[in-house]
Amino acid sequence: MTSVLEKTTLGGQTPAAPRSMSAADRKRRVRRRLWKIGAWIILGAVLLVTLFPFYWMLRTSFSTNGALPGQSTNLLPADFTLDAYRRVLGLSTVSDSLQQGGSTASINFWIYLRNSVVVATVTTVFQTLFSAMAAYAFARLRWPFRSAVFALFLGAMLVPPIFTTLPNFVLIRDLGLLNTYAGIVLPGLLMSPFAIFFLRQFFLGISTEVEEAAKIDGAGYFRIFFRIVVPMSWAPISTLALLTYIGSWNDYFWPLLVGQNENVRVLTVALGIFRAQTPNGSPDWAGLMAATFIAALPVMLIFALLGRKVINSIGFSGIK
Amino acid sequence: MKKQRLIAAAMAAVAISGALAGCSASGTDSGDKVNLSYWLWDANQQPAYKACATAFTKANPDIDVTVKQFGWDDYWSQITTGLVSGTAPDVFTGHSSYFPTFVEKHQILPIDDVVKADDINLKQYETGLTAAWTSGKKLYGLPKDVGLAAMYVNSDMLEKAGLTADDLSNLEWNPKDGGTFEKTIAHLTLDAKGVRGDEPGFDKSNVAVYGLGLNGDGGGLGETIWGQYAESNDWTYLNEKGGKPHFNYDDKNFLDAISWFKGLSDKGYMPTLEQAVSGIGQQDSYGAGKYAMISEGSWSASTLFGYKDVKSIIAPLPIGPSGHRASPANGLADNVAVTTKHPEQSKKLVAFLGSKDCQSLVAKQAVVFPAIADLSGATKKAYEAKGIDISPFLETVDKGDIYSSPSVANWAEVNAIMTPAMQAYLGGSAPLDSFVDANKQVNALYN
Amino acid sequence: MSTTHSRIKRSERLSAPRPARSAFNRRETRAALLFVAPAAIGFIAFFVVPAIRGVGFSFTSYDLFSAGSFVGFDNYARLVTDSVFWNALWVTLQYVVVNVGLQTVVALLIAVLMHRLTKSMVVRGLILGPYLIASVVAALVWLWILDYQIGIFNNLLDFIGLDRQSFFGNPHLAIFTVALINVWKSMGYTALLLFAGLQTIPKELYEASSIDGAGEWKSFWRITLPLLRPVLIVVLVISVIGSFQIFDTIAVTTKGGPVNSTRVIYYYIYDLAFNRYEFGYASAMALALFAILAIVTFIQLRVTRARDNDLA
Repeated sequence: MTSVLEKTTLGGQTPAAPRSMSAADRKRRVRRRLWKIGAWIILGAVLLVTLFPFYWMLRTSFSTNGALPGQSTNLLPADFTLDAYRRVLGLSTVSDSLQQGGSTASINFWIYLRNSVVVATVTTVFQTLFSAMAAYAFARLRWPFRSAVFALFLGAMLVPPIFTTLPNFVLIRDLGLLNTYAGIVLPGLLMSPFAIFFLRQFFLGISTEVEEAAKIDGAGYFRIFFRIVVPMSWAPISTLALLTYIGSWNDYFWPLLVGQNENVRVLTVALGIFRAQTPNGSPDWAGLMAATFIAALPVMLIFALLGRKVINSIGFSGIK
Repeated sequence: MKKQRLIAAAMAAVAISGALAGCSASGTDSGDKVNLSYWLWDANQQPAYKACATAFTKANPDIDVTVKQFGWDDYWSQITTGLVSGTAPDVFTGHSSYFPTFVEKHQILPIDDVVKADDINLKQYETGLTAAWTSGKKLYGLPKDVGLAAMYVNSDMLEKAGLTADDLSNLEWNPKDGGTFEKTIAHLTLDAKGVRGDEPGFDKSNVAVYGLGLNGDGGGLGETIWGQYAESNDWTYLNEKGGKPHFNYDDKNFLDAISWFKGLSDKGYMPTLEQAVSGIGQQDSYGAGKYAMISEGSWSASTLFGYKDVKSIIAPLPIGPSGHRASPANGLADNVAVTTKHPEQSKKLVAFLGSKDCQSLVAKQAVVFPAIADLSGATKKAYEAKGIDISPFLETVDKGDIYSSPSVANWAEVNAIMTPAMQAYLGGSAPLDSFVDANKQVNALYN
Repeated sequence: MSTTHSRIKRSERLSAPRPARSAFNRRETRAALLFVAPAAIGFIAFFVVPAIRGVGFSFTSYDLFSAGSFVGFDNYARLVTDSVFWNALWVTLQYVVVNVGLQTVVALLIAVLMHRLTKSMVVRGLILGPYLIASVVAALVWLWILDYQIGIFNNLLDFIGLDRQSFFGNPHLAIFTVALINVWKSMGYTALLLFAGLQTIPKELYEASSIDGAGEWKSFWRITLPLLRPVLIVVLVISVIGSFQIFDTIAVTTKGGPVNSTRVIYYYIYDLAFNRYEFGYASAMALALFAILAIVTFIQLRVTRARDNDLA
């Protein structure tokens, strides 16, 4: 700022009218540039805070447990090793594992990975399908009590999940489905109020001409839906499926209650258990970070491939 | 078309045979192979019990045993979910704090019938242990091990401080000035500049090595943390008053002991609670040379002696104002879940696990002390082979300087009150008399 | 085109065997019911029935093992005198205020910055990163970073000369630490929501104000904020309801401690039901939470409905 002033006054000249305009302009331009630089610095800081934990996760996962306390300020892995990944993927012997600061329990993240994939996939496929069908009925078909039922379904969004979680646990237990895939997947399988709301908005916005034409040709409602409406709405449907998949992958509370058994344990629950498993009290930090990385990786990959969709969807899903 | 029909037929065949296989595999107790599941939480004991499981199957070829381990934090929630859903393990390691609740809710089976049938000698166990597993005149488990506490000391640091093992054999503590025990701790404490805790110029805000470690708040039990001090100060957790338990957390002897204990942190000889609960546990801190002495259980001996950079010796707990030491003596036992589909076989397994055959295998591994009195000699030898002298532990038992932890119903509720109270006091956010109110709440649970 | 359409429709109407005066086509209704059936079954089986059962449990001493006996309003009476319950509400409130408040401010900042600086997909993608990972993953990484003894953040504090902090062990800091972790996790998502809202503000308004000589700050206050209000309101309402349900982070880090300072209402209910076998009492508490949330949402909507949409 001062330099601009200096340039105009120290030069010794009293600026004529047009010159003073450009001085003010210059002032504004410099101020704007300072703002811009400042803004970029802040944004850079935000990105740093956002991304550093991921880097730190990676760095620790390639470290040796014993070396961690001594090298806690080292930005590179402390005593680089792949041992943590070996432990976590069940490729390490029990005695090796104990020696490296891990636990003796057989950990096998391949199984948990598989479980997460099964749960997330089944949930996504069926939830999206059934919610789309219901959304179509609400948007396009006319039937008695349609708006009342829709309001009821929406009301479900406002109820805190814990209220239905406890009795759902008892229900799943009574059905004998504790510690099965069915038990984990069932409550969310058939519908999601948000999904129905989301898709109904889209279906409302589609032009009716093609459907009318098909109706005239004698097509049944199911054929219209599956052959015409779904392909036309593929963008929002796939976006919804993506969001559902991510949500199901990251779910913790419900799988914690009903899916503790090894065969059905999902990654999030496995992480919680892994944290507490070492015999001498301190967590196996390197192994834990390796495990979290494995848990986070699939979602990051999907995002890298299909992220554009998710980012673009964030605009209208929240506001309309 | 033919191909499709072939495939369909093949699939049908597979399906039918699968169904038939399913039918016959629904195990009955009539001579078909039975598979029992057995759970424990101590990873160190897993190899020993796996060996026992193999021995059991050798003696009973029609019973297979699968041993599974879960970390303590998750062990009990898994057991609960299992009991609630009918998928609990057939046999599992029980703990005295959960025992009364499981009995009250009818979740474990008594084993008196197999004790009679196999003529098991209950006197072979150390005194008092079977009583802990008896309720309403029924026995629910056979004591399998005894957990005791003592001091583990870094022998190099001891030498550098000019002390010997003998100096540690008769330490005394008292709530007023800590006695010889506190003096020793202070002497072993080193600040960043190498000044000892009992020397002038000691900087308590910059400690490099603590004389005594801390393992957390201990909740309502304080096992191996503060229990040994409170109990050697003529105090006991509870008394029976009119058939109901009456807790004594408001007793002056308890308050004095805890106040002295916290004082060690305040003076810089022991880490603060914040430090104790952070990312490195007490054992690893000891192994990293941050603590000169720690009070720990006999079950951790092999882990503690396994640290490469630390040479340890075991010293007895200090003698308290009562004139005695006070080590916890808690026996674990295996329980049979009520949800088991094979109660006969499960009880057989429990009988075996508590027998000399199995416990001598456990003794050989030198990870815990078996509850069978006769095996103490073999246990001592096994530990000696690992370079560990467990005489301080055994002497405590011989002298009878032991106490058992409270065994009451609703212990989870007591802990839910005492844990925050202890955290608040040790962490410095609540005054000493907050225990009076906490004790009132605890006793209100039983009225 | 449309006339042909209506002509055909009319003829269809004349020839179709429809029952007189019914506003609803039976065939259409049947199809609709089939379409809605799976969702309706799910709704009734896993929502309505459990809700009713939950109310039922709250009047008993159910403990998961046995049926438990009817205890009338005892559980609710106990709620009133349970200091841990009121503490849980207070802790939850602290968390919600800090989490939502800070998150909204930070997200607004990020959104405005992005709006002015770059629309790059890469930046938006990176910002969204933390939102995609599971809460437990975020919690565990930060547990490691903020560790009192060997966490890198505390080493940094040491390096600058500040005191080390026990972020998870200090009862005064713990809940705020949990709140900050969740701000880190969700600020990207909220920022993108607000960013999308910013796109709807006409550029001309900014241009006009800059010609008038208004600086960045003024145009932010006079233009951006007021026009962003509807989006902000939606964000706030959703965030508040979501924040009340905090569980995952606490379950893998502090487990309600130290000294109950992170024992939020969700965790307390879970602890009661599954660790202390007090299912009936937990159900009563869940119902109380439902009532509280309903009131909070109602108040929120009332307060914000008073403001109009300024863009219109």
